[in-house]
Amino acid sequence: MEQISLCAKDSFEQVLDIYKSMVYRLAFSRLKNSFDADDIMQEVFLKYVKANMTYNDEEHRKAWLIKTTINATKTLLTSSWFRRHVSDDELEAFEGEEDKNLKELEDKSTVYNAVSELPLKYRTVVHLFYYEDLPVQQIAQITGDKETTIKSQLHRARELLKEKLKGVDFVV
Amino acid sequence: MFKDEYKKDNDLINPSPVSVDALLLKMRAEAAKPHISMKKLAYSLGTLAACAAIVICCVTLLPSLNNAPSMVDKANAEAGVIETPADSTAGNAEEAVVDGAAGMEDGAFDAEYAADESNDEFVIQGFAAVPSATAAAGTDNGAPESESNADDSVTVTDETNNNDNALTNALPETNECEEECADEPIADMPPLMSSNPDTSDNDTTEAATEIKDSAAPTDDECAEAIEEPCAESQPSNKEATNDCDNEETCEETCEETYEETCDENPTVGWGSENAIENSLSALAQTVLNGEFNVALNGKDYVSVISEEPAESPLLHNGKIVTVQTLSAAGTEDYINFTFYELDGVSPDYMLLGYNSETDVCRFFTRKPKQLRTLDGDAVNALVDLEKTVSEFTFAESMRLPSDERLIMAVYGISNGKTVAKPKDTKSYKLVLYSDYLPEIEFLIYENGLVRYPYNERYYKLSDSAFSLFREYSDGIM
Repeated sequence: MEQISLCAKDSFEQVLDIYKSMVYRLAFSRLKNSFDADDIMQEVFLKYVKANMTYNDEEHRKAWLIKTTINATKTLLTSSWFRRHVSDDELEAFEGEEDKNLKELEDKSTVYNAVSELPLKYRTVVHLFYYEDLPVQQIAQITGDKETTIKSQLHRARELLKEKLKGVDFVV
Repeated sequence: MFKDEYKKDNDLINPSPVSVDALLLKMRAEAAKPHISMKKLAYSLGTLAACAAIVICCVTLLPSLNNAPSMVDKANAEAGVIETPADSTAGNAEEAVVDGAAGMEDGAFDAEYAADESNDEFVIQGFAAVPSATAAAGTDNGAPESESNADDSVTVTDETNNNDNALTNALPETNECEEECADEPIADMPPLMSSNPDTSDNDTTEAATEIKDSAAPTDDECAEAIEEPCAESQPSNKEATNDCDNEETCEETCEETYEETCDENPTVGWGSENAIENSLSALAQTVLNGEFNVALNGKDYVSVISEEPAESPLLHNGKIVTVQTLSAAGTEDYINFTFYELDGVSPDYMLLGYNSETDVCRFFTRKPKQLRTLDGDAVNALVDLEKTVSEFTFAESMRLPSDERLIMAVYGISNGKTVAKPKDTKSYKLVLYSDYLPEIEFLIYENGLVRYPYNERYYKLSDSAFSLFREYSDGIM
């Protein structure tokens, strides 16, 4: 990710430009569809503007965005609307519109597919650790779990991935 | 490596430009709202409190200063120079109280003995940047203390400067960023649609200011101008549905009144305080997705120009949103849509737009593909709710398949005439479930009356509707 020094009064557009992909990808990894990820991205940045917080540094800002994204997806995943509607009728509701991101990944990626098949908590930890390069300590702070829990989740996720990626020459 | 491969895969995932544009539009609407910074508010209140404290101190201390000059001389001789805690300007009231008290214990401020005019300056400067809590503590706690620390040798003027510096240092990020970011206000969102004559070049805040500064009527004035003639001739929305002549007369009056009063300022919708953010967002998104254009006969520019409350027993919190459309050929048109928030469901997810002129309803949701154009009259449009209704159940837990005729019956309830509450009549609780709607629960009585939950009034079902419910209740009713 491009590292640009931002300060408290940097324009929203700059922040959006730098972090939109991060937020979107995390949301996508948790929700596994583009439409909801788009919604979550919008929701997170709306909250960002409304919160109008002062951040100590970029790490702080990034952590805030990640945390807010996780919370927003959690809210969506537990909402009755989502449970009653999206889980069963998602494809019908979109009347054949393809989730291009998902389609592309399904076609091209073995690794991402393997990760996306992991349980939600493992997906999130794997994403933050491998993609966002966050240390275990920081992941623990963001998710509110203990470090040992995160390590344990990472360990189990790796075991599952090894199983799923048998025959593929990857070092997990 | 797994990590590299995973990163490479993730890089394929990107948010849709449409979504980002919609977000920017929302931000523009958000930025146009007046923001109150809690930090600034806190500082303002702190400053105000400090000023009040100064006044109180002056009023309290000045008489004693005049009455006891010799005490000051004594204090100065004994204490030399008096120190005010530098960190008392940090703005934290609790800390300030402690600091103030500590200062008194050190004998730093024998305030009650400060009597001559030369010390008046000290009294004021010493308290100048101290929050009220500090001043109060200093007055209360410092008065009885008489110990002085002769080693303290900071001058009064220096203390004031230090306090100023401390205050300045309390806002490092703002100051550091001030120069760098001065030209990049957060509200500076790019124009969404180049054809929008009112928002394409200017910050919405500026546009709103210009509108406000002009002699154009306010939103409230417009709303009143529209509502007043209607209120006189139209008893209520519900009753008016049974009185078409009255409604037509009223609509004409309203349109004329609106044009006379508000036409000079057709852009109050964007950024006005009364704007319904979610309605605008939904509109904006559908515009962005190009589907609203199609729905509005190819008009390629849509702007919301007014809103007024609408009422429906079935759908809540309605707002009539008048949108202006502008075709590529420059033809303007005004269309009224009534947006309803569906009770208990985030309006972000579901809005029902009803065009009273064409009797066309449309659903607006955040998901573009769920935008449905429901041609036909209003009843037929509501019948299409059938698509979203999954099932009905009665209180006896009997599950019924959805049927559009039931929806019609439900809608018939909302337009029915109010009747008196039935007495001693067996009733059945009907719960309507759907994917979008919250549960609607109402009572149907054996004599064909129904208690509608939203206004708690009683209506008589039409014979056909009642027989329909009986049919579906499978003998229970």
